[in-house]
Amino acid sequence: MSRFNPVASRPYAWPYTGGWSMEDSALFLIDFQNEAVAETGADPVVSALVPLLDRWRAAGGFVLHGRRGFDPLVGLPRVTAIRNAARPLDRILARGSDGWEIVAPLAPHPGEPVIDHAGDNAFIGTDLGFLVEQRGIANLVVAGLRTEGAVHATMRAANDLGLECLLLEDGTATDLAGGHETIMNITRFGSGLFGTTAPIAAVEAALAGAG
Amino acid sequence: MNETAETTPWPIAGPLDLARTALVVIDMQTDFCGPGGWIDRLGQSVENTRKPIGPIAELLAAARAAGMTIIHTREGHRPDLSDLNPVKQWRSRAHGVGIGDETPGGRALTRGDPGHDIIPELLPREGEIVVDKPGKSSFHATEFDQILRARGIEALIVAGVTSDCCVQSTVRDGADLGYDCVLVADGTNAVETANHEGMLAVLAAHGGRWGAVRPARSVIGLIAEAAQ
Repeated sequence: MSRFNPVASRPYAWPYTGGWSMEDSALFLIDFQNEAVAETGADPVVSALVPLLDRWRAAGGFVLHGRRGFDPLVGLPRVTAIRNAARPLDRILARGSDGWEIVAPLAPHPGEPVIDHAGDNAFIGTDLGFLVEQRGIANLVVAGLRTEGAVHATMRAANDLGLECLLLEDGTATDLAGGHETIMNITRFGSGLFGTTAPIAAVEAALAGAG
Repeated sequence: MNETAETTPWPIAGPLDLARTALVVIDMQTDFCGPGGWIDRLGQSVENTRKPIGPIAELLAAARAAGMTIIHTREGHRPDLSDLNPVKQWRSRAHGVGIGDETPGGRALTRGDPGHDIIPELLPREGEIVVDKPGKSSFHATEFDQILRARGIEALIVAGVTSDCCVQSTVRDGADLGYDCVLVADGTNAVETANHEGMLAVLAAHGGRWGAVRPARSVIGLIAEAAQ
């Protein structure tokens, strides 16, 4: 497989090992579900990701999808359920309910794992960590909703596991004022304590061999 | 102190039950908030990370008087560094002082090194649990969750450093796992003020997504009330 040059990201060029391929890297699209896209006004983000997703698939790359929701047969933990019911926005939805489906432009293709997770950290109570380990994935390119929610929680967990993460600056959105900037800063500070960030175009450039 | 967070109930599922509540003090180690520790040796100020010492001492006194479960965590790695992932090692070296590297000032974030110890002001007492963790989240690669379950703990009072790193990771994972968390606003801080303030704003989003944020005096008042 082709080996790609590092991505022009901040605070250092991702990945730290100096190169990457479709064998050791995955694209993780987190929670681009109808209600979350509508609440965060993320249609432009979805549109911006489609060409990257096409290119990633064409290169034979591994694509993972996160889908937040709880099993209605099970429910949420008691405390989580009370807090969830009390908020008008950013609700954890029952699986299968209105607004829970992934938006059509980013719908999973057959064979692409969908990670159904009940909370923010998509590694908790799921096979995400196991899938990544079995595929030998070392590097994650992350996009998703909300920036300060499932995206950041999942990147924190990936980071503890030793995965090298790149967050797409224009591939994530939130309705929380200031949330995007805060999370970008916390991701990058301390020489990339939680990983790196870059625009979608920087990954596309690396894929095109221009990185 | 964000007013939105102040309005979020804690505890949310009934009156405070001290037998089912733990005080969790995160990473108040010399490496993060003491002279000669990792942050100090990186050339950064520990002024911010020392601010929570007073409020945490008061919280510890209240929790001890009430006979609560008290858990202290320490971030650090096995001396052979077998639990230090290569990305973390590389970034820490890029930052200036590599975790576990032999230096005249000791080995940063390494178990057994003096910098790894909890600062003298907040030393754990006999009977208090100490969890050593290799990651940011107290739940990652530790017995933390098993300890909480074994004790029947359902609510967490979280304090310590740093708010943007280990404290936030622990509150987030705790909330995902169903623990009723309250973060002690003046019992936590970060090296970078903007990150600390941004983190408090994030935790207050949508009425307190991951739990409540309260000043130490408010939490101490609840403990004293419940202990009567």
